[in-house]
Amino acid sequence: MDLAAALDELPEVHATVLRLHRAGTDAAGIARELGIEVEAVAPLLRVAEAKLASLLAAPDPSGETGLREGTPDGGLRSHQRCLDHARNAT
Amino acid sequence: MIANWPLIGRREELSLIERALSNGQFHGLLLAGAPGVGKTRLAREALTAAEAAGCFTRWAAASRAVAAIPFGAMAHLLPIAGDNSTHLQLLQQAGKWMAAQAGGRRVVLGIDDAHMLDDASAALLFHLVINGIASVVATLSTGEPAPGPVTALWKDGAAERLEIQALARAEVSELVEAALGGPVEGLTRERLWLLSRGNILYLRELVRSGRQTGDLACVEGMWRWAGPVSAPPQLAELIQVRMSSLPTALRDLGELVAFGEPLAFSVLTRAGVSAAQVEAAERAGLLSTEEAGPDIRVRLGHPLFGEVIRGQTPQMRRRTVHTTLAEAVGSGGPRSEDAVRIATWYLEAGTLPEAGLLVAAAGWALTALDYQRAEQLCRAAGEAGTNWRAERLLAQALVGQGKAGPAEDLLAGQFARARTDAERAEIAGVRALNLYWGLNQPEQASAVLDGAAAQITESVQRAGLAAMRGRFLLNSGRCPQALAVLGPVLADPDVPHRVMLEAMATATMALVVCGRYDDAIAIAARGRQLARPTAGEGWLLALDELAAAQAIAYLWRGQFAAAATLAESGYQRALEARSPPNVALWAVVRGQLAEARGAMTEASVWLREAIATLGGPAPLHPYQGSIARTGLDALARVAALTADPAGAQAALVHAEALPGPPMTLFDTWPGPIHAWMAVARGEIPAAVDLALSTAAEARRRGQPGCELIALHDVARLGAPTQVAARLDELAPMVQGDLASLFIRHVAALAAANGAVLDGIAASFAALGANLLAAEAAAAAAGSHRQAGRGASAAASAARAAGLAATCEGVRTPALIALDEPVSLTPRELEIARMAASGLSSRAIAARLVVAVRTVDNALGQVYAKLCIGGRAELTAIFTVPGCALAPGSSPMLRPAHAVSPAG
Repeated sequence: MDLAAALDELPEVHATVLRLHRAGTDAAGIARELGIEVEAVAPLLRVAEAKLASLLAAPDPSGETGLREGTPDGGLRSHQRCLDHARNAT
Repeated sequence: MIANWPLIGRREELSLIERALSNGQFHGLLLAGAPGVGKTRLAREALTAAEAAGCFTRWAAASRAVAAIPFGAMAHLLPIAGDNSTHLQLLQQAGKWMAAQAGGRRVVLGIDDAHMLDDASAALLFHLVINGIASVVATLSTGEPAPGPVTALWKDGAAERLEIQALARAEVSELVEAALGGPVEGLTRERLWLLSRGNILYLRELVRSGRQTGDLACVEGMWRWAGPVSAPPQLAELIQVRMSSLPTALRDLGELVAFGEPLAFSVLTRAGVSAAQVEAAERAGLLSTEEAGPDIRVRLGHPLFGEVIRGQTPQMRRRTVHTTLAEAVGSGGPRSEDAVRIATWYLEAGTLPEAGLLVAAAGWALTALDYQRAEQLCRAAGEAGTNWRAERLLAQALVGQGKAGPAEDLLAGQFARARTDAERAEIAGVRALNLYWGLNQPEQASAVLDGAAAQITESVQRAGLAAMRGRFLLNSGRCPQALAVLGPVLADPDVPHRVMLEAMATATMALVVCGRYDDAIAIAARGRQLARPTAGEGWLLALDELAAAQAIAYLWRGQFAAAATLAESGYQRALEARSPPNVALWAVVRGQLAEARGAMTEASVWLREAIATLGGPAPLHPYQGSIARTGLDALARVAALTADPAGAQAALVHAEALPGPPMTLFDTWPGPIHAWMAVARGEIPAAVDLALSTAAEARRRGQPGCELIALHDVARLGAPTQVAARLDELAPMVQGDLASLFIRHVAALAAANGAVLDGIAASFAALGANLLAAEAAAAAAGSHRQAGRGASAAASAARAAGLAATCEGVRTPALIALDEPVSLTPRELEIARMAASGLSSRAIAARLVVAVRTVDNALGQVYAKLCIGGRAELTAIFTVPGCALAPGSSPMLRPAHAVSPAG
């Protein structure tokens, strides 16, 4: 998954804190933008970074077919789970 | 539904908590977030993990009920105190007592709703944490003031504060599917996401409520929400409590937005609302705002607020709100599409607006496929004064709702009253559509079109009728005739875009059936340039039909990736538009794509989603029948290919029972489905006859694309020599790489040319057509074996087995033949595997504790059975991709069960 798609899959606040941080906004600015306490910025950023890393490391759900990654709705991920359900059911 | 929902989407938060508890810098974490976001569950999970790691853990929950009692929340964590103990003494004793209880283990406290701790408990918590006696994982509600000692924990750096977020969209889907234990239809996933916005409490209550009312049900293995979603009682109560705490001015503002959302801020200003009020409402979570060009768009803070607020608003207040909204929007130079809202608000307020507004509104409602609203507006226009346009729109509204009989009663008399060609074309088109889809009278529908065409002189107006006639011809499988009718429409630059789009969608599909994939793609690409993104759902369906036809053209041209890209974006667009026919259309396309790749389970899921989506209570759109038919046929084919004749039969019975006229197009398109059903029943000769019969019918109808597919299937069923010559004739008539690959495939099958078949298998695999690749490789294996080329046969078989393994249970004749094994005994297989890995006979003998001569004898048997000359070829066989060295991994090399292991 590429960076843009991964950011789109994150909860909105996580995506925003990452974008602000990457744009060079300091903790006070991020806190103001998000309406949170300045002390809460660092832990929030760490969680957001970890979630982003997980998404970027996730295997391409279109797998070995060579098809392109889907739109950032999680549709393919969701359908991958459907497939898992279907396989388990059989 | 499972009782305990799994914890999903919190791995990173748990890791952070674990690190916070284990490093020396902090002594805990305060989890802040909105109610229902899952803070308490997370804190409990963290405590469970701490306990598992050997910590001494205790849990306490603060509440308003005990907030007035000193140490009320944490009394159970304290030693029994004497009557004269002071708070200070209790604090000192508590630390020692807790340390003694822990017996040397690290103490971790879980505190729920720490913002409600009484002052003494908060002080105790601060004392325990700041002195390193205990670590804490506590929850806080955002927006609620916390006691000073609790705030000091993160302000002074003793603990961290982590803002817990609602789940992301994909996590909501994952959680719901895990809780329900099965796949959930796309629109239902989207709906639950929009209504919960990732709030786990909301999600749980919505799902629980849906299960209780039966609105959320599993149909054919797919969970689907049918009908409207209402706020579950528990959530409604929570929302009511929240609303009742707001100042009157904000509640009034909430009512305006609840009945009118989305509203531009400028509209609210005209309704007397100030910027300060909107800001206050946003801070309170009642409203949300977003930039919308130069203006700001205002909505409620959560979709479920609207239903609760509307339900609480007294009738007279509703009228006032509706009037205010109609006047505020109407006085600001409204967009023409605002007519629907303005007219509806006036009607809700008990005011009958002038007929012109109502008719304009009805027209926009029809554009948005909101047929019920259109009928309401048309009938109101009738009350406001006789209006010829309203009568015509009413007929369309009735057709859209499936009220075919009353619609025909109206339409039958309207044509004679028409004064212009535009009116005649409009009435005739709607009537023909109703006769065709609603009343199942295709001949009468054609007669209406003929009669109208004879009386209409303007070519632009005749074009709309021709577009419809083209669609009827396509549905009956008369593709060349359809193209002939559509030709003049496509060549006329003055034809309205909407008509042109419909004509292009039909022409694209007709060209696909004829095998003219390049032409189809070119027309579709031109048509999509006409798209207007803001032109309403009616446009969206026409545009999606065109794009879906283009995707199918890409598929049969062999451009799977291009088809997948179109299908993925189309599906997403349809979900966002929350349009069931569009979602179903794209789910069908995605199912067909998966089938073409040999991904049968995925195909089945997509196709079942399409059927479930169309099975809702919404009125049947005229074209939904053809979408359902395509989906059910594809589902039947997938079932047949995976040896499920009963499932295939059930899908076809369902297809036959669909309302609407016979769709004879599907007799031949996209191939001989009944032949594959015969295969599933084990009747191969009958299957060949059925495929030949389909090919003959396609030829008779002038459908080279269909004919080629059917003839290719004949070859796949084992009779390539019967069709090779005709395929050569078809070669110049069918476009694209896939068609030429089909023809080469059949020729190679007829010639039993293993080497060419290997190449064709590789070509199919490069396209992503794994099933056809597996079949070609399997046929190559058979050809090699017949020619005495054992190593090549084994290599091809191994490749075929690897490809077939990706096709999830497919049983075609070619793959069944692959399952006829070369009977290596388990011992032979074991020795062969060792020899292939490079072990010498002596080493093998030592490992198996047998004589070297026994190993050599066994290898001799292996070489003879595989028609190979020695170890080098054996190594080649066992290192072919897809031929794993595990026992039984390759059907070609699997052990013969009749032979005892000792043998």
